[in-house]
Amino acid sequence: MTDLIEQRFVSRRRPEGVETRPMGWWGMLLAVAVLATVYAALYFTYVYIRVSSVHWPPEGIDPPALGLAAGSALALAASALPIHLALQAERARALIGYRLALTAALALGGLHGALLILDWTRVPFGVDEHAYGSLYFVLPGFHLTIAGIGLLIGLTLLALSWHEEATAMLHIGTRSLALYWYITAFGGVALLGVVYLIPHVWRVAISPAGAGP
Amino acid sequence: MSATQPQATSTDLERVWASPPTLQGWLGMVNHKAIGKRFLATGLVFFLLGGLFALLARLQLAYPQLEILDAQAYNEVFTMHGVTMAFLFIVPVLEGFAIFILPLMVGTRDLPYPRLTAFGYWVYLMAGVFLFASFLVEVPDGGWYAYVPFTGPDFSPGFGMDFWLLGVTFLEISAIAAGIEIIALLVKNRAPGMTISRMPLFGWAMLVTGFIILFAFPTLIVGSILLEIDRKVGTVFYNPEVGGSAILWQHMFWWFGHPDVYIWLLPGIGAVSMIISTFARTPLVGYTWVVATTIVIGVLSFGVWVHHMFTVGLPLLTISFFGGASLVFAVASGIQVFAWIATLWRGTIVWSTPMLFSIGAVVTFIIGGLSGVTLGVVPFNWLAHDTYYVVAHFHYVVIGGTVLPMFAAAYYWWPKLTGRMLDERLGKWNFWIAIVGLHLTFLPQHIVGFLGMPRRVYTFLPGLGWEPYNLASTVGVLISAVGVLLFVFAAIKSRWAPLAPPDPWGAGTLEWSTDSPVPNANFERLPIVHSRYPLWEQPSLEEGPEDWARRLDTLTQPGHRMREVVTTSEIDGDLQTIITLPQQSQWPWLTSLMITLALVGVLFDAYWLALAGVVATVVCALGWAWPGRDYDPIDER
Repeated sequence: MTDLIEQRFVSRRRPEGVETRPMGWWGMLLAVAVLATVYAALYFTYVYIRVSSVHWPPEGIDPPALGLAAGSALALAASALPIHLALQAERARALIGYRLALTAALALGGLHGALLILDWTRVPFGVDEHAYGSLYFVLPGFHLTIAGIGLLIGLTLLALSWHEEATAMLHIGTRSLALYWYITAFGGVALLGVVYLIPHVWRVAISPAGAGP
Repeated sequence: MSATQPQATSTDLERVWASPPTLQGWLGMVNHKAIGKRFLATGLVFFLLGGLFALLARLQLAYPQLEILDAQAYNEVFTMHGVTMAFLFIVPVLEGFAIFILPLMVGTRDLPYPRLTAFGYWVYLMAGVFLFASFLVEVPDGGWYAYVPFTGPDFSPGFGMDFWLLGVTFLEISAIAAGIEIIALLVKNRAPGMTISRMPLFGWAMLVTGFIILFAFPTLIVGSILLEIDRKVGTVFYNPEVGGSAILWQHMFWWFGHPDVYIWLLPGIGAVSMIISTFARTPLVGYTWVVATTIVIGVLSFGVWVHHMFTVGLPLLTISFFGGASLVFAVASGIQVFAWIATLWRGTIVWSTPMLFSIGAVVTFIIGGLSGVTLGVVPFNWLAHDTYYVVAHFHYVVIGGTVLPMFAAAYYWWPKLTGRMLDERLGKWNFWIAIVGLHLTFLPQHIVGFLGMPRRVYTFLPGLGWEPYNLASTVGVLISAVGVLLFVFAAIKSRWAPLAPPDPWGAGTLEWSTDSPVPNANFERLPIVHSRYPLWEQPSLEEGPEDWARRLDTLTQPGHRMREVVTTSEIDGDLQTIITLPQQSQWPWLTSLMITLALVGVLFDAYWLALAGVVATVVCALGWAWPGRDYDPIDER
């Protein structure tokens, strides 16, 4: 173990002036491309089913209330700021600031999920009555699963920040989490926009393209 | 070279990169060569099983109204043939080749995320076992494309399609993991001096393939999860009676499925390009054109999925666009074929077994490509849709673009895989028997398709004029099977062959600069590259800027108990940093096992088991991420 510690920070690893990102960052960048495709597939699913229906939402159902969803989206978007601050704090090796910023981000992420789940308890339909209902629950649920993984990564990093010898892992992890969080925040806010706004702004089909409820 | 520091002996370096010869060492192995070989060996087993299903299906269709299989058994057999070949054989074996050979080809010691490599293998193995466990319960019978509504809860209420949906979704994780590994390797871990324009063509092909995987596979994951929760939870995404859409599945499947075809083809194109260059004894003509068309094919592969859906009732303008886009592939593929022909024309051809398989692949691929052009023409497509003409077309493309190149690659890289050569005489018998069998199987299917025989039928009536063609196809499969068995025999026989020299073919790329079999650390000293064919065009692999040489020397020093590799700049291949890679780890197989438990829980509605599996997966992931004996990275700042 001693020789491992001694070899930290040796200059042969990175000559002065060479700026590169850790390999973990590259891996996460590619994972983010996968997540972006997942979100695109979710948007496509919603819009395709919407295009195939005449009335949206189905007759007898009001467009969704926007209050809780707007609050949820706002919390998610706002959580990107403390993630950015955590990134800065980790670079400056300011551990207290790092922990505070990361905790704030995780709290906002938790609030985002809680508000969304609260909204689900207030709608008068379930997942199995019509495609609108299936989309209403499952697409944001898909997003919440992705966001939940981000929360777990964040909690792990928070715990790691008390591990004195884990500076490298904290660095790689924080940069990777930031990428993950940004795509989840962007993808999630856009998804909520699709699920909650389309029923308000696109209620009648442009052309009667198929049978709908 | 640093004068003050002693050089390592190969033994020191080998010890650092070796895995302990224990069960724990075997389970926790993360080295790319071991994992690559596991992918290949497992893929070969699935290939034999998938081939067995094909044989059963063809025996049933040898004569009219045979009852070797009833309709249900036939549906199960042809479904499992497609699933096994598409998901468990082709993609994993191509990944296996890439995982094994790419780090050698670009001059490094391992893939950038070794534990992810191992995880990808365990996921593949466990997903394969999961899918085949369906034979103990209920076999999927909805085809490899799993079209709804047939595969939805109303028409396939049993467990069969749940095996398909959960197993294939799980398996996709393996492919995505490999895609990430391959891209990161080729972008950041090439040998110092290997600029992007010096990267071997197999590397380019795998780079584009990696990107296609990242953007294609997630849609099938999303589509499959939505269908599975339609089946398990009662959602109605694919149920048109309550606002869903059956056609949505086709869009999701073919957004994945058509690019997937290029995931199958591009690695074959890359391998054939390298083999033709080696055995024509000359650099490939039109390297830049082949790279450019590979990228074009990769991008276009996402713009033609609707040509699988010409008959579902889409607007004429839509299908006209997709028909036109489909024809553009002929131009890109044509450029590649002409590059191969020009290389052969310029070179001095050595008719080795890998070369024979490569030429056989090109000829077969051209035939498949020509029938593809006919199917891109919408009115003809309407006529030929769902006939055996389509079966003939895609088998020609897959066999020419994937299966024959795989055999070529196996014969070519066998000295690196095992340290020994495959028997050339047996190889030539293998080639000629396989090529005769394959063409006898699929050429008549064009004609029987023209005569109106629909695909996906378990039998047919006598007197329709289809008999001789079906019999010929069945005989062809039997002959092909002999060819495949000859390969298996040659592989076993090679165990007793003498050790091969480092470069038995006189090839020009880096994998041939190291010993056969390849040492644990791949290279004693990481090479410095100045050309596309360093073994042909460079007097030494050690000469380069003094700073590079000095830093590369430090990687071979004794006393380092860490596995170290270098990163290089993305375009110019300048040496950047020295990084540490993980050692053996038990987390990859444990994590895969826990996910498998969760899937078994979902399959049998045992949600307590599913929950336990998810919790255990999270625990394993935490263990994986926590710094420990298997990985304690160096702070590179």
